Amino acid sequence: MGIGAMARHIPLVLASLVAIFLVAPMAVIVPMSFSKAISAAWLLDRLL
Amino acid sequence: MSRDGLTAWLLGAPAVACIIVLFIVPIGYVLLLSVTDPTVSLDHYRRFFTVPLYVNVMVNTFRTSLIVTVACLALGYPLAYVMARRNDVVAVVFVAAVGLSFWTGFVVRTYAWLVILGNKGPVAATYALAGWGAPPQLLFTSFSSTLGMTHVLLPYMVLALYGVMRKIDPSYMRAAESLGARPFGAFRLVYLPLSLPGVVNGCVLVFTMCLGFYITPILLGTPKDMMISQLISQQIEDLLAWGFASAIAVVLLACTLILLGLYNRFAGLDRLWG
Repeated sequence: MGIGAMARHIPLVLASLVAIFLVAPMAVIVPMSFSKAISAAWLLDRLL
Repeated sequence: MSRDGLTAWLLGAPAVACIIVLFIVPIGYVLLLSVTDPTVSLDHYRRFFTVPLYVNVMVNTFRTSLIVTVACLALGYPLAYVMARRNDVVAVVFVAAVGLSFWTGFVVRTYAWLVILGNKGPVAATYALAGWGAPPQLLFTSFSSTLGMTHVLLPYMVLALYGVMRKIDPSYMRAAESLGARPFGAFRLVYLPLSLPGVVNGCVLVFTMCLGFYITPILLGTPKDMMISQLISQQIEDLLAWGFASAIAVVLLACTLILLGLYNRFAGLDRLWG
């Protein structure tokens, strides 16, 4: 893929990042609401 | 008065009554309070503009509003651009993301940032997982306050930009490229100037909303970076200084009106919502 073709995708990449930023709080809060505490400790417990 | 004139007056009366009761009377009362409580004088205004602490709050409010506006524009422009230029599922997903954020209460979103940036939030968890040691203090800083406000106000910027960008004919860009312009050149010379009304609309909207922002800086920020609305709240709740609080509110209102007046002079307020 040439640089010009890659450059055409820059707006899409930036827009995707901004869309993730917009929904991130809800995406984090909703799973947390099912845990016992309002924290990511449950996630750490599973991963560590 | 003719029959038609009387009918027009009667039809307009409920709207006029609403404006008088809901806007003019409360604002008039605040204005009156600012110059009569406890005695008739302009002391509150003199105090506001001469005490460095209050001037600093004013400057901080404008600086924060400017930073948030620039951040919203930088983040919102690419998203609105893609939403307006595409007609596929990607555009639908982006519109849904903006709508989801827009329709979620800003108190909820602010609390979400409280959790995300907190000591036991995902950011701290990522730090622990990566073995980078203790995470930096993110919460209760200027950064967290600005981030929260940017997140809350970003949908307004995106929708203001989207309304204007959607009306730009895609064939203009194709015509520019067919005449030899590179994609970025076509964007800079054709698309960007046509989208400027949306940029101005979005910036005015976000900046004026940010001037009076209260909940997000209270929950995420620090007293050092106090906004003008926090100062008003402090004067009323802690010090019962209704007169001085009213004077600050009048100054805030005047700043907003001057901004909107300038916008009306150069662009027209009827274009604010696209």
